[in-house]
Amino acid sequence: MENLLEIRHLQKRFPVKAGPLKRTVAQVHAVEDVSFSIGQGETFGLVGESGCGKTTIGKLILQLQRADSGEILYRGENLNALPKQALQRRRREIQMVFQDPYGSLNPKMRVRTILSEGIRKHRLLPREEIPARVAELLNLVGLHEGDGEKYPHEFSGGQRQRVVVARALSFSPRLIVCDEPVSALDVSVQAQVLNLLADLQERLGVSYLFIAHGMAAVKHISKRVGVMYLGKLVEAAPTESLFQNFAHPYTQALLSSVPEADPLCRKEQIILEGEVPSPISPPGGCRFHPRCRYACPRCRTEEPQPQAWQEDHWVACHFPAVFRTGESAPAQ
Amino acid sequence: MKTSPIRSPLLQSLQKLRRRKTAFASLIVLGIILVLALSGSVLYPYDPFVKDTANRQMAPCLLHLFGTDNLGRDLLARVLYGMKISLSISLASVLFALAAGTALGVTAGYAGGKTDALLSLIIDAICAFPTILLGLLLATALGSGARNIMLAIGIANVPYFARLARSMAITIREREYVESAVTTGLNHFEIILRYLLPNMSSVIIVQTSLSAASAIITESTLSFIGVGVQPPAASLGSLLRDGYDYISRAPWLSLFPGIAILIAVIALNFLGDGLRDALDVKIRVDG
Repeated sequence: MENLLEIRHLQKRFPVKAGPLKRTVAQVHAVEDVSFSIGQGETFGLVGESGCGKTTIGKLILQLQRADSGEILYRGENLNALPKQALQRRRREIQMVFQDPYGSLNPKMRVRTILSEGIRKHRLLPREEIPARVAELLNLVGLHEGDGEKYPHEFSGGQRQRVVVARALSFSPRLIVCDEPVSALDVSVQAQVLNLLADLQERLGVSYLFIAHGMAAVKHISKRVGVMYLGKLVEAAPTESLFQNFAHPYTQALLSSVPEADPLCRKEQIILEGEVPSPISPPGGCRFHPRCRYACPRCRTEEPQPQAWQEDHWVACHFPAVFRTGESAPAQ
Repeated sequence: MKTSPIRSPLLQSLQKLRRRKTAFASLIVLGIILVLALSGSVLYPYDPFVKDTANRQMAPCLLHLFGTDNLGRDLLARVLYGMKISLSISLASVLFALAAGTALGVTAGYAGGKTDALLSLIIDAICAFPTILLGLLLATALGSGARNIMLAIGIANVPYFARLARSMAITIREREYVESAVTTGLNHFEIILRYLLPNMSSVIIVQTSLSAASAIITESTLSFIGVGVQPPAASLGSLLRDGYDYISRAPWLSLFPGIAILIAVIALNFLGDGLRDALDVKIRVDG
């Protein structure tokens, strides 16, 4: 299957400016050498703590921010190198669902205006067909046709997120970047929105880049999952493989924090010590070593390169699955 | 199930304003003033320019409610005429400041970087001139008269709108709905028009009302010191000045124009405060 989106060696640093002359005194290493790909109609889950650069990746894909280097290949075309006009045409095919449904809808616009804006801008439909399309979109996300007359503040958080999803769908996109789309919602509403997203994928064949800070949210929706730490992708694998045969100590820690439904099933809780190091001066060697309980001298000096751990499953660690000593050695 | 009709935010705000008594009363007072001032001799029979030398400096009586001035002109007619001129000058200057200031501020705030630094410098430079001094300068350079003090007051008010619009633009620019507008493919002009301006309109409206009040005072001051409206035209400020010479003999000549200024300014200020509450403006407005 051809990859819809392929990201190669993406890098983004933000300058830190200080002093009266606004000189760059340091750089925030937001995204460092990240590569992954998303297939047609597939979901890629991107997991990591806040501040690890996962939202930046989403914004880089949407070209809300420009990458410093690396390639974002969308259907074989590098978006980073695309001239402005060609980018505007591509733009409608990649849409975004934001984290905060209270901040991502223009409070002064009626929902029907919000939903038809993109259609009008890109002339996707003749004018007289727009109302029918708006009604169709509202139905698609489980809202009533009459809701088009309302303003965003008249909806609850979950309903607003449905409006946001409907707006993304109004472009008939191929890829939707979902930036923690449910983390601002009540738990009971989270499942509804997740189900809606899964349902829409089945019906419309869109791909998702699903960004989340916990493993639980991505487990059921993603085909593949990537784990990020301090701007770097530390492990990426098909969901099943990652949850079963995780090899990076950070993935282990993330997974151990997922609550278990079975009260009899006791598992070891790994609580990471210390704070996330500052991305302005990331630690040398393996970026995770100051918080890794298995770190050894090599981890402090040498940066681990991504290596194949199992089929289609790779990890950036000198000692993959070191916490599973006694089990079989990695299949190289 | 009966669904409530969906009202636009504007309508909802107007309803909220109705519930605020002082603000709503101010709106009515302003309405009455406006009707009286604009109707001219239709509602009130006296002409503000017709002299009646036989009846000079008449004290207020039933025939001339506010008395007559030094040339025997009916003072109420003159106050109404002066009110019309004062209100027109203050409104025109504030609308000028509103348009120029908002455009400047939004451009600065939205563009950021060097554009912002340059525009902010200009705004600060304008702000460094006291309004009265600016009025005197313009009057000296271009001659006194209604048009020039209109320009002076307008320019002096630009920074208030510019700073407000700039800070609002900086805040709104970072909102996710603006990012969504970018992913929609809208250009800068469309984003400013449909996303930035509607979301700062309430703050700007409040500022307009407060600036209009201060513009009346500035206009009166400039006319009082003689660089404003020139005779035979009159504004509230020049009426005050005319009466000042006879303050011990005929105090009503400056008393009534003074009260008129007071009422207009207080009403505009109360209206501004009421609008601030009704439009739910959370940002502190410097007026």
